[in-house]
Amino acid sequence: MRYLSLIIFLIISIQLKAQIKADGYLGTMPTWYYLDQMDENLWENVVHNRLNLSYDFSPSLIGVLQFRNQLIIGETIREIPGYVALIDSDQGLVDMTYNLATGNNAVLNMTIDRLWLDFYLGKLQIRAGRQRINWGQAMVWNPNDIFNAYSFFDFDYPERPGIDGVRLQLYTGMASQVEGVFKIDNEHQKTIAMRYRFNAGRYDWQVLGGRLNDSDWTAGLGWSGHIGDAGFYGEGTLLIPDGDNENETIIASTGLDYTFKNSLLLRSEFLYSSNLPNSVGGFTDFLAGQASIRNLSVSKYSVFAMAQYPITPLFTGSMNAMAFPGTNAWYLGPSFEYSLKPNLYLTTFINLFFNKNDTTGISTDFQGLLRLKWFF
Amino acid sequence: MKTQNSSSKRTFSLMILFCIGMLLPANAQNLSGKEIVKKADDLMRGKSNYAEVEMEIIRPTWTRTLRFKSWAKGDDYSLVYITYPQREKGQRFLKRDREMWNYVPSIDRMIKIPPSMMMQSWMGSDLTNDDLVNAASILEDYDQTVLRTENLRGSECYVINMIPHEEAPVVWGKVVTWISKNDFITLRNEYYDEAGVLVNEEILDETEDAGDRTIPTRFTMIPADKEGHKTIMKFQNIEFGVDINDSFFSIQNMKRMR
Repeated sequence: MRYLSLIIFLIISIQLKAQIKADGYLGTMPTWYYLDQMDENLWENVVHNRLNLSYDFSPSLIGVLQFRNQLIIGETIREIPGYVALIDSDQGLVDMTYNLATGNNAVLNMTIDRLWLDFYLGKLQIRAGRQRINWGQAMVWNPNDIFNAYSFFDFDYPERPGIDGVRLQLYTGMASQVEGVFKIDNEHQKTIAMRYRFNAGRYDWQVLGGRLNDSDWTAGLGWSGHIGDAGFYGEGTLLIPDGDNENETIIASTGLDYTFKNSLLLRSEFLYSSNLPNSVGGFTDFLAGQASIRNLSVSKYSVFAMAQYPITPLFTGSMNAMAFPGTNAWYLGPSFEYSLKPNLYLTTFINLFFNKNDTTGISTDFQGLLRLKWFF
Repeated sequence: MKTQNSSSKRTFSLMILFCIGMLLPANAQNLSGKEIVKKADDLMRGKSNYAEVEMEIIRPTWTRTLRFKSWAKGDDYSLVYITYPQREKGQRFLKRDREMWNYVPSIDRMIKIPPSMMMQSWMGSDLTNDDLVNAASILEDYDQTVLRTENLRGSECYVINMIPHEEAPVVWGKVVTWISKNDFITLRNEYYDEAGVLVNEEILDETEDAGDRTIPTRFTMIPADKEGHKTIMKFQNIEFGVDINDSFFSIQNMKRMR
C-alpha cells in the first residue's frame, strides 16, 4: 500500500512538474593540416551537431541525455591509419559511440557523452550514469582533472567525453563540498576517488585522493585565489604506481591571469610533468588529444602565455603561445571570433608548431581551422 | 574611446543600484542631497529582490540581446542565471560577500573570478561582471549636493550633483541626477568625465508597479558623442521583498538551479 501511494505520488509529481528542455548547436569546420615530417597536406571537414536534452521528473529527480553527431569528410579518413577506429572508440563501460556509416573518405559518428540521473536528497546529490567530472582549477593544464584530462588543442569539443560511474556530492557548507566518485571504464578498470573542496582566506581549495584505474594511488591539491587583483591558481597530483619498476610521477601546474579595465586578458601558466622527456618528438601527439594526466603536454616543462582582447563586442582576437624549456620546440596559436548574427559565430584557429631536434632536424607543423557555429 | 566604454560600464552599476530597493515615507522638506539620494537608492534596491532583465545593445550596424534572471539579498548576496544568448545559456554567477564564482554546467566547471576579472565586460555587453552582481555605493562613494529643483517630464525634481570621493572605484568626474520630489524616483542621470565633458545620458522611464513599490523599469543609456549607440535595459519582471533564504546563495544551489 505504501508503495502504491508512493507510485501514485510519483506519477502526480511527474505530471505536475514534468518539463523537457532541449538545446544544442550545429557547426561546420573545415580543417587543413600540414605535417612537415611526413611532408603531407591533409584536409577534412567536420559537420558537428550537439543536442542536449533534460527532463525534470520532479524537483529532486532530473534526467539528462546529451549526444553529438559528427560527419567527418576528408583525406584524414583515408590517409591516417586507425583514424576511423579512433573515432569509434568509447572509453566508457558501455559503448555508446557508433560509426553509423563509413566510406573511403567519410565517417558519420554518433556519441552519447552524457546520460545520467540526478537525485537530490537534501544536501546530498547523487549522479549516476555517463557524466563529465571536472576537478580542474587551472585554465590550460589540469593535473587534478583525473577523470577527463583535457587537451588544450581539441577546440571543437569543449564538453569533453563523459565517464561511466556514480558520483556523490555532499554540500557541507555554503562554499564547500565532499565528493566521492566511482568510475569504471571499457577495460573494466576501476577508479575510486574523493575530493574535499572548501573556501578559506578568499581562496578555493581542494584536496583529493584515490585509486586510479586499478594501477595507481593518487593524491592531489588544488587552489584558486588571487594575488592583488590577479587570479592565481594551481594544481598538483602525485601518482604512485603499483609496479616496483615504475617511478612516482608528479604533475603540477600553476598560473596567473589579469584582466585590464578595457577587457584585455593576459594569462600565463606553467606545467611540470616528472614523467615526460626533456625533448619533443613530434606534435602529432598534441593533435590526437590526451586521455591521461600523464600526457598533458609533450615535455617535462611547459610554459603557456595568452593575450585575449575584444576588439569590438562582436569581434575577439586572441594569441596563445607555448614554450617547452630545455627543448627547441614552440607553439603559436592566433585565433579570431566574430559574431555574424545572434547565436551565429565564425571562428578561425591557426596552430603552428615549431621543433628542432637532432634526429628529425627542423620541422614546422600547421593546423588551420575555420568554424561556423550556430547555437539553438 | 576606451575610457568611455568602461565609463558606460560603470554607469550600469549605478543603473542597477538605482533599480534595486524600499519606499520610505516621503518627507520633502529640507532634505539634504544625501538624504534624497538615500531615499531614491532605498527605493530601487530593497532588502531582497528578483528580476528578469533584458538588455539590448544597439549599434549603428547591429543589435544584440542578453537576458538573465537575478536574485539579490542586501549588498552581500547575488545570483545570476543567464537565459540568452543560447551559447551562454545556463551559466551562473554567484556572489557572496566579496567573492564571486562562475559555474558552467556544460563542462561541469566552477571558476573563481579574481578581482581584476570583475571589471571585464560581461559577454561583450556594457555590463561588467561586477555590475552584474554588485555595485559601488552611490551613497558612500559620492558627495551629494542639491543644485536646484526643476520640472522634468511633468515631475518636479531635485537636481543633485554627485562628486565621487578621491579613492572611490568610479570613473566619473561627476554625476548629475534628477529625482522626483514626491516619490523619489530617479528619472534621469548625466555622467561627466573628469574634464567635465558629458559622456552619457541615461533616461529612466516606463514606471510600473513592482511588488510593494513603483519604479522605472526601463533604463536607456545614450553615449553623448556616438551616433546610433544605445543600450537599453528592461526589467520585465521585478519583485521586491521576496523572501530568499541565505542558503539560496550557496554553491549547492548555484549548481542545482535550473
